[in-house]
Amino acid sequence: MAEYGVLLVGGSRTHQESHARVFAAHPKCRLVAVTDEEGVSEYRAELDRRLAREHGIPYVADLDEALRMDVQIVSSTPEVERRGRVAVRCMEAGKHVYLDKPLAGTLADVDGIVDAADRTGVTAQMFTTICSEWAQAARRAVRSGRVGELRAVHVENLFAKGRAGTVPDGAARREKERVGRVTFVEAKREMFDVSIYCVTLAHWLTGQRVETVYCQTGNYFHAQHARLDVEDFGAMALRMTGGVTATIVSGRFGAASHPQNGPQRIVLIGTEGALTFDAYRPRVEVYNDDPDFTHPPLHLMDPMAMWASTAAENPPVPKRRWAAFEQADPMMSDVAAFIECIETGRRPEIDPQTAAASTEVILAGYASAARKEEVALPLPRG
Amino acid sequence: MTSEYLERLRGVVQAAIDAGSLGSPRYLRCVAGVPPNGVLEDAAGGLGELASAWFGSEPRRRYRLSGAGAVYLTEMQEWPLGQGAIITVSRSASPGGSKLDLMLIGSRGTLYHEE
Repeated sequence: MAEYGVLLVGGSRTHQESHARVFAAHPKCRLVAVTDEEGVSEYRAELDRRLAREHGIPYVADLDEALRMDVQIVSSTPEVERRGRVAVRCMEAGKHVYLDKPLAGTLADVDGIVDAADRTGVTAQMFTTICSEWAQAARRAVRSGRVGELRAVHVENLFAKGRAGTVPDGAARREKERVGRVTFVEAKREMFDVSIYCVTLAHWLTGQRVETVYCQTGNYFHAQHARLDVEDFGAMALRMTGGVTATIVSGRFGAASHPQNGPQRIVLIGTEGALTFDAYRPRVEVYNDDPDFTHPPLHLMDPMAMWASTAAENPPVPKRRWAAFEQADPMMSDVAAFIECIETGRRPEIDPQTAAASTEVILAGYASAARKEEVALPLPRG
Repeated sequence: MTSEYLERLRGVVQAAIDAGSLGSPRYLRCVAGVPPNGVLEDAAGGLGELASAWFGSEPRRRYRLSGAGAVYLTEMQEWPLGQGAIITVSRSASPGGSKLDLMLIGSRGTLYHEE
């Protein structure tokens, strides 16, 4: 009998698709139900019900009722705009919470999650890629002094998804001071969504906190992002405590722009040299006369190919040219680490406080890109 | 990463741009190492010239990070039409440590190069 009942807040076409699969595969977990806030749209409720059907579990339309079920863990993946209040409700119900990334879209929501976790004492963790083999290798290199004293890190993560080349030429993006709405059907703010991996790695690898952010955002690839006035690319330069610096490159640059899922790379620069760690190294490369990747038909409800559920409706020709040695889903080891923290009482490495620090860096990035100047942290509250 | 090497690189990348393989060049990311006796400023300047050549003009804004002891130099650059670059040059521990890792991201394709 599994020890932990897992409640899923959020359904299909959210990251719950991945969370649910990983929790269902964990030997100590069993999925209990899918739920959501009362009053979600019928569109969202139907997607929630769909995920429930796929896993053979009930959909409970009332979050409070669901939280009274035999549940110890909540996997929380509502849209960014609802993440703060949902996480707080789950924590206040005494549940351990596995949080989607980034933590939330406003400082008030971010601070609320940190406060609730502190008040309730539950175990909470935000998903990141720190458990991947290449990130772990980079951290071992830092700790063993292979580059001498660490002075700078570069981290990049670009999603190779969507059909690029549709954005009109010639216009520099004018960024907005505040992140605003993040979630749309056609697209999302990509620096917000993707750079969280990079900023968290920069924090985690250096052990330092960010003091200033300088940022540039762009509409480089996708017409959908340009129409919605959300960026598809972002680059940041971070000054950190201890005299360390970091650079970040993130975004969604199109499925055809990389032989696999997109560059995921860390460069460590120290007093004794530099080292690069890459999600696709080591790898094998295969060339033959099989057809290479081709775009699937455009899915009107998911043109950026964000969700596995929509990809399954019209599967693309898979990319087979590169095969990395590391094949494991980093979420599997991340969830395993979360369960271990619950059992041992150890604080997760990416707890709400750490996740909040990374999220605040990104929010500061938007302010920097809007003002075209360096922005100091912490950001003013209120 | 000699000047001859950079000039040949400039040409082959420009050919890819001219062929339309990348769409419009939008962002350049360079991480380079220079030998212990190399000059970081010179190496970064050479890479910046490549960026200007591929983007077709000079950047209008620069932001620089550098570490104590001249271990590395990073410059973020922005162009009038929104293109950008991050160029990082660090000092290698070995005399043969000169190397270049470059990614030129275009609106419809991306070019990768490692020396």
